[in-house]
This record gives sequence, structure tokens and C-alpha cells, in this order.
Amino acid sequence: MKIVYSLVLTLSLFGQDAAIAAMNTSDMLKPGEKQIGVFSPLRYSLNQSSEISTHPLFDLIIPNLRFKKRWIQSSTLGFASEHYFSYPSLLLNTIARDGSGGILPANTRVPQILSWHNSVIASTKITDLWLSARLSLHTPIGAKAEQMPTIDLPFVYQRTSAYHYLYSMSAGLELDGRIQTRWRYIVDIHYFYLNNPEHHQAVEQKTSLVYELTPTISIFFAYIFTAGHYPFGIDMRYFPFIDVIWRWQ
Amino acid sequence: MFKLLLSFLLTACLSACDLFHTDFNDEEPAKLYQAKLLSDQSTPIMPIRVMNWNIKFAGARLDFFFDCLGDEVLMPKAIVLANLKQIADAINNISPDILLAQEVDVLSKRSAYVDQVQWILDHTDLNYAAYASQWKADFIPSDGVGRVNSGNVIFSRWPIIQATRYALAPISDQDALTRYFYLKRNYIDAVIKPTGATSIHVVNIHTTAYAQDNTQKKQLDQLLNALIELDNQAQTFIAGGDFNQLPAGSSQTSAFADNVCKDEYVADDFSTQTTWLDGFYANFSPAISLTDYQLDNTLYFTHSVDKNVFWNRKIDYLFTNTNFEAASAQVYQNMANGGLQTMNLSDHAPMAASWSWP
Repeated sequence: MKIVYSLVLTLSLFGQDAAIAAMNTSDMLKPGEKQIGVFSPLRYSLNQSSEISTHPLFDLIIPNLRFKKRWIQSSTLGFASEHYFSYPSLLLNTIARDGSGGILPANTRVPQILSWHNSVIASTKITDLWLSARLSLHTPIGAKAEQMPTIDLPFVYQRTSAYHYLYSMSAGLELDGRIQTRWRYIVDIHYFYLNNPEHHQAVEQKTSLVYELTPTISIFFAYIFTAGHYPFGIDMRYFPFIDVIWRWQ
Repeated sequence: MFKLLLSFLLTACLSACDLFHTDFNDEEPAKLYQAKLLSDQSTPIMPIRVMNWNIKFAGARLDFFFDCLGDEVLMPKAIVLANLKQIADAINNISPDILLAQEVDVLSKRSAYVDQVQWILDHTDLNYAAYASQWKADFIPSDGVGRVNSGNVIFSRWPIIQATRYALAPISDQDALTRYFYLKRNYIDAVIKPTGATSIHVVNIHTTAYAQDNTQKKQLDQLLNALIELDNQAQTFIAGGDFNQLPAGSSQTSAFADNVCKDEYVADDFSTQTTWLDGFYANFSPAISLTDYQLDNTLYFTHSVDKNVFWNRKIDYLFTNTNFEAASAQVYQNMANGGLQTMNLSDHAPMAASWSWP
């Protein structure tokens, strides 16, 4: 049970940009609107052009806060920036343990890491579709390569590599459209460049089918595919998941 | 569009089963290797040297967590390569034509992802190898082990024309999750055929050391039955490995001073198991006879857990259904016995014997 808990926790926290309605676009929630999912963060709209989000369940173990600001918005064009801060050292210390759930060795010296992601997002409307492009830079403060082993898991490795090697970068495209009245789809692809000595790279592709059960509840049926170069070689795999997202005013 | 996306999602869900890729078939081909540069492969006319060694994934005598002697889990690449160099030096010194090796890593985080099978091939006179994994997972979410692929290998100077991995009985009293990530024991049967000579079978096993039920007995019986079948088919074989079991006539069968684990079960009491190897001694020829062993156990000890405790039990073996050369067997314990200092290389001592090709 501890193993399952640790894996779900780790994957959930490091995979937190998955399955979030319109989160990877320049789109915003309506003023005063809130949104939360099982694996997705709590989002809260501050005003028409800015919102904040966090994973409340995990804040105790990995304090995290995301701020998104829309700078330009028209009926066919949007431009926003996103700034995500987290403190992963507590979580890393928790998973550095003996026995089940030990993702890192118990003798790991986890440094104090302040993780800092900055992204720019541009979105444009093409007929009925929204096409968004994102550029991100991950620059944690306080990490050093020799202080702890890497976590050589797909999805996790590309998100934690910067803890060891100063920075990592990613670029992505997302397509968001409607199939039927209650069905939407979101297709995205992200490329990661890791600043380690081997210059590892990874690609993630996610496809989600979104069923709008009610005006406030949506169910996500999705998979993520990832392919990348890891310390052990090249790896490719699918990861299916379901999420339920609830919105309210 | 909708149907296409739906079928995509269903395919993705199905292919995500066995997420960590830990499973094996009951019988499957072993992975074959070849050295980058091939050395002498002339037809074996003189007796050949057959060696057995559990190399402990080039972990030498670091105090790993599983021995309860320390907290080591992962080794830096420089340490792995330095330890492999010492192992290759010992192998070159003994100069085997066939080597049965256990606990050899090919893609494990604990040994810095060095493919030790290929490395040993490229740094010794051995030319070919057949590898069968006994512990494989994309990620072990326990103790910080991470990715692991470790197993048994048969190295040979001559070509291996066929090699099969046979699954051994699993420990019966584990829960499903533990069993999913746990070691999957096996024996490997390789057919070696030098040019101009008959083929022989070489069989290598590493049985469990951690079972509290009679799993090890089942595994030994599986091997014994397989060897009897080879013998009935008039096939010549050499068999050996890390049996994790003592021979009959061992003066000490329990309470070994270097077993210090308290929370985790490690086989330490063999007192009720002293007949488990009788079938091997009754049916086949050992490299070290029971008579020699019982005259002085200590000369043939091959294992100790703690680097500060000299070899204190015999758990590694070589058998054949023909005969080893008389008085040719040697356990390489130290300079005085074998002429090699091996205590610092692994928690097992290498052993070797001479054998004439039929």
C-alpha cells in the first residue's frame, strides 16, 4: 500500500499539468470561479486577467503555488505568462526511506530546493479550435548534482532533472476543440530539454477526451505517452488516467 | 474522429498493464552476448577450466542495506568500474574457459547502469555469454533501489548455440505486490559447441536465500530433475551455481556470526536441510567431493556476509555427469589457499575445476 501511495503521490505531484481544462492555454477561469480535480489543482480566479492555483492535498508535503496572468486577450488571440513555485524538499525527504515507498535511498542528503518555473503561453483561435504554444524554463535554486540520486522514472525524470543540473526547458503545443455538444478533446505535445551532461531529451504527448457531465462537472479520459532518453537509455510508455473536475462560482 | 480517439485511449490503457515489466515466461530464450574482440577459440584438446563465481554485481564488500551491515544502495560508476577491473583481473588469473556467474547486473541503477556482462566479455578471454535475468523491474519503489536488471550468466570461450531461461518456483508466502517486484529465480541452460567438438550443456542456478517455506527445496529439485533428464538423454553437462545451501557433513549449520539482520529473514539455520543436496552428490560428480569437504570444511568455504568475517560456509557448487580432473578443484580463498586475495572482491569466493571435453 505504501508503494502505491508513494507512486501515486509522486506521479501526481510531478505530473500536475495533466488533465487540466484550458490550463495550458492563455484562457482563464471567469472572475470568482473556482475549479478542482482529483489529480488537478485547485484554481481560483482573482480577476478577469489573473488566477492562482495549488494542489491543496499536497501542500503539506510539497508547498506549491501557481500564478497565471493574461496580458493580451481578444476573440482570436491570447497571451499569458505563468509562474509556478514549489518547495519539493519535504516530499523528497519523505520518499528517501528504507523499505516500501523508498523512491530514493534512505541515506540521500536532500538539499533545500526552491523550484521555480516560468512560462509564456500564446493561444490563437483557428475556426472552432484553440491552438496554444508554451515555452517554459525550470530554474530551481539550491540543488546540486552530487547531493542526491536522480529519479529515473519517465514523467518524473524530466520534471526533476533541473534539481541536479541547474535548469531545464520545455516547449509545447496544445489543440483544444469540441466533437459533440458534451464532448471535447484536448491534444498536446511537449518537448523537454534537460541540461545534464548527456543533454537528455524527452517528449510527452497527451490526448484527453472530456465529457461534460453537467455544466460544472467534467470527466477526463486520457492517456499520456512519453518517450525520452534517460540515464538507463531510451524508454517509451503510455500512462492512462481518469480525472474528474468540478467547477463552481 | 471520436471513434479514433476512443480506440487510441483503449489501446493506451491495455498497454499500460505490467507497468514495471517484471514478468517472465516459464521458459524463454536467454539473451546472448559476444565480446567486441574475439580471442582464441581453438578446439578443446587439453582439460578445460570451469569456474563458478557469484560476483555480487561488482558491489565488492560495500556495506549494503540488505545485509543489514550498512546503508549503501547505489554505487557511483567509478566504483563499479574499479570493482569490475578487480573481478576481471581475478578471472584472467584463473583463466577459465567456461564461467558460471551469478548476480551480474546489466542495467541497474545500483551499479550505475554498467552492462557487466559485456564489460567482462570485453576485459577477459571469454568470448560469448548467455544471460538470464532473475530480478528485473523498470523501477523498484523500495529502499531507493530504482531500476534493476540482474541475473545469471554463462560465459564461454566457445560459441553458445542455444540458451534457455527456466523459471524456478516462486516463494509461496508473499503478497501479490511483493511478489510482483521480487526476484524471479531461474536456471539457465546453455549449449556450447566448439568447432570440431561435440556440444555440451552448461547449467547455472542461483536459488533463493530468503524463503521461510520449502521454496528452495522445490527449486533444487527442479534443477536435479532437469539434470537427470539431460543425463537420461545422454547429454553431457556441467552444472553449478550459488545453491544457497550447505553440503552434508557441514560442521556448522546455524548461528553464523555474520548474519546480523533482525527485521528481515535471511537463511541462517540449515540444520534441518542437510540432505537437500544429497540427490546431486548421489547422481553426479562434484568438483569437490563430500569426502574432501568433510575432512576439512574450511578449505572449501565460499561465502561470508561480512567483510570482516573470513569465508565461513560452502554454498557454491560445480557438478558434472562425467568427471572433473582428480585434485583439480580449487576455492580461491586468499593467497594461502588459491593464490588470490578474493575476500575484498565479492561476498563469494570463486571456485574452479578442470574438466575434459568428451
